[in-house]
Amino acid sequence: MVHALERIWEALRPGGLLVDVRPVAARWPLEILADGQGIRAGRIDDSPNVVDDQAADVAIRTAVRRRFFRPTARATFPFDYIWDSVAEMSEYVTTNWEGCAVLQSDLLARAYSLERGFHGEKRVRITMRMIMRTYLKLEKRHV
Amino acid sequence: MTLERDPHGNETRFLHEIGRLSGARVLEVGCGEGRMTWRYAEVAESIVAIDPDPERLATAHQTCTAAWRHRTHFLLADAENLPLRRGEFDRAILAWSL
Repeated sequence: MVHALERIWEALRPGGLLVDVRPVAARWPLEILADGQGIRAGRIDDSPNVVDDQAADVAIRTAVRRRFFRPTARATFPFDYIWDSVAEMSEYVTTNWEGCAVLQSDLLARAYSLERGFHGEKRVRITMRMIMRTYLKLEKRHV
Repeated sequence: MTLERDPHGNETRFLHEIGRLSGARVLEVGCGEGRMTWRYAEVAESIVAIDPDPERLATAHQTCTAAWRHRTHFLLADAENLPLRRGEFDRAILAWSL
């Protein structure tokens, strides 16, 4: 990862800006949306993502310590995924989030149970926690 | 399947607010199918978007609108082997990819 950051440093012009956007593991809530409100089924297990998060943070800290970049701004915000049904959500998570999140069987059962309890229009939401940080390119001082 | 991602546009808002992408020459690392690329393509001067997955990259290329095609380039590459000149970009975005 640090090597990749060095290559990006080279590709940036002097004074260029690096923008790092990614989800962070924070036990993202899973909700059923019905009757204009969100009913919490529980939180998904995103612990497999923690290792990647930590490795990315270490790489960035290393690049900052070596004075490739200087942090300039930081923001956190929610990022919603919304599906039409629990079955669609489950299929998507299994297919696309392998290695970063796991739907526990008890959570899935609660979600299906809540979904069955509403007869009107309903949808399913997982809210990721995102972090966006910017870094100014510095003249390289240490390698 | 109907899937909505970031319906409130939080990512787009912060990308523009703190990424300051207007008029910038942008390198996007990990563009995938171009989901994030389309959120700033209108304001960037030019974009080079890279991804190591050829299928996702092909989807990005196919869904690029005609208006952006002349200034948006998709490359099969990863960040450790960037086939790019030094000092070419004003912004580099790590799009869920670090």
